[in-house]
Amino acid sequence: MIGSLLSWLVVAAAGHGLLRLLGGAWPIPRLGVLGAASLSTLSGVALLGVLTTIIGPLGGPTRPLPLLAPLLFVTAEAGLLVRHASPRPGVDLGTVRQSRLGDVVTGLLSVGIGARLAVIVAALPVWHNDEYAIWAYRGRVLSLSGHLDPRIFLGIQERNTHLDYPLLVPSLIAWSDASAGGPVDGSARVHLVVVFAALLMATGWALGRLAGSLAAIAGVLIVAGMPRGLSRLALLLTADLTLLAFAVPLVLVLALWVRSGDRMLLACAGVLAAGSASTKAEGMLFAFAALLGAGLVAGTGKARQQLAIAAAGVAAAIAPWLLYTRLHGIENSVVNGQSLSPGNLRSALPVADDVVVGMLSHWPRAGLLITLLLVPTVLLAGSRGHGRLIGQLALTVAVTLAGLWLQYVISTHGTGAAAAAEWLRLHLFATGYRVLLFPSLLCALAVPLLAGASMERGLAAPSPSGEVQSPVSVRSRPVAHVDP
Amino acid sequence: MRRLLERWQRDGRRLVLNCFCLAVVGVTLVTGAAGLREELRASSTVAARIEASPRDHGQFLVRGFGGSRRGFAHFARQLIPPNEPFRLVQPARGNPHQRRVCQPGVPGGEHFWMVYSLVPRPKTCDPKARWTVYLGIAPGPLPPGAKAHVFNHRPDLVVVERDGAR
Repeated sequence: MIGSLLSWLVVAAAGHGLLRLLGGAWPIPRLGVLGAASLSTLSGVALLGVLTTIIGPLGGPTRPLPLLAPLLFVTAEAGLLVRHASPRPGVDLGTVRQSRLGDVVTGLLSVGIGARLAVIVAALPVWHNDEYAIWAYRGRVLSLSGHLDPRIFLGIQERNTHLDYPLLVPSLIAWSDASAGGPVDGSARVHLVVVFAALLMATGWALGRLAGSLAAIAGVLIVAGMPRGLSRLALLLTADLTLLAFAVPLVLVLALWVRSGDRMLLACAGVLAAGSASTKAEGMLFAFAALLGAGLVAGTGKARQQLAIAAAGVAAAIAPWLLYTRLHGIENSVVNGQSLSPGNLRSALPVADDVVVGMLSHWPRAGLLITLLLVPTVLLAGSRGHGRLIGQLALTVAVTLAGLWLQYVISTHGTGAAAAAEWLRLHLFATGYRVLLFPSLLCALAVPLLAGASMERGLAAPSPSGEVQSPVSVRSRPVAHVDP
Repeated sequence: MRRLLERWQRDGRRLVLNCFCLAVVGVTLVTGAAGLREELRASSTVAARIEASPRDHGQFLVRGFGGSRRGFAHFARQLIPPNEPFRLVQPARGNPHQRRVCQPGVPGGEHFWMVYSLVPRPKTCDPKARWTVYLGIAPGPLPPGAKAHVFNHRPDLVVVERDGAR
């Protein structure tokens, strides 16, 4: 217990240090306690994953000692010690009075849901095929062998599963094992619960600033109550909830950044995107969609340039793993020579329509009323000057759906139409409910977000990124806009 | 009077729209809370079912590893050194399209569970591996110098050690 607490302290402190270094300001005063705590935790986890991905392929140790924990500690220290030449002014997102109630309630809700979930999962052993075949297996290899054993991680001849999957979640499992003194399934599950609680907190924090306290509370409840989230995904040592923990706040933080252009927010977005891309193959698509959506609605070339720099940082963070796997002949399990071969494409293209129907039938439904309210809320928000926010969300969802559709089409196997259709049916049944959660959650969150944001009239002058600031941000009276 | 009427219309319209927004957020809040309640309830039920399931040396027993097979994974763990690769041989009675194993057609669930049980020992497809685990199938004639470690007198649960019987 004490070991786990200490390990989380190191991870969160490292995340705090990373945000301090990249954001050019102190995270707590700039983001507030809720924002700084949740985003530092997620940033620390992302840093752990990226460091493992760099150290592991170089043959270094994948246990916390002697390298990973000291590196995290050094990042935490560097964040505390490094002084920036001139403190950068920016939107003070930590003292927005209208969000305080939302911060307190969503913070308590997140902790409460996290604690309840931790109690539920703490005694569960590894039980599901995806755990013992992929995620827990890879985590335990890192933890017990202490290095990235090429006989397992490069085991093409041995036909080991999903060799292309990135290392963030396995590295978190290995980190948990070290803090628990050995492989303890309950401890690893609680570590993933902490990441889930950080997702809830970050969602509440961001929604509070975008749309007010009530929308923030509604958003946290929607995310926590997502279909098969707690009843299925939270009971698994897999990467699906962790992926959402990076991808969903990424979109919301980018929405805040589009409004304010604040460097700290861009730093948070960059780290969250790196975390998303380091978690699963779909995470790369989600990060790309989110960055593209924000880039297309960002008003100025300068804002786009800043976003491009952040995107380059994300690419640099995932490059070591992509290089390591490609250099050893490991292809992406979806986009690869076989799936892109003319023969496979010829047999897969006829199922393109079936993929659309299948995706619709496996769409995770957050509630009929929410679905029905989406269109009128979008129309209302559009009439109240939230076009850019709508555009950002719509683009992110559209690019994500297009990418997922393409993924399902080209990965369809089977000789003949009937076999391909059957393969697709099984594939969608096994993956659709979790892969489609990201766009589905964005659509569901858009309802309270746009309704909350539309409740007050837009009054502000455009920010340098070209967006009208939200009333909440306007009331906080930002001193000046960031100009890195 | 006209100005007052215009103002009332403007403010009234704003009030109506704000009420609509508030109602929308309220609906999402209630729907979210209902979803959370349902998910938490289902989560507790599923977790209780998994928790109540039988274990083998602390590990969840997947289908096919109960009864007389219980303890076999632990038996193999004790024999095979942690850094040595092992080959896993099973009868082909599963999905013939299972591509992620050395022999096509073996039951994937049992296969991956056994491999996980022996972590961090790497799996190999090499028939000349020093260690071969026979799961549900008898090894047949052994090569010279090999030794069969039979689990609980079960001829189909065997760990064969080549070239270096202890």
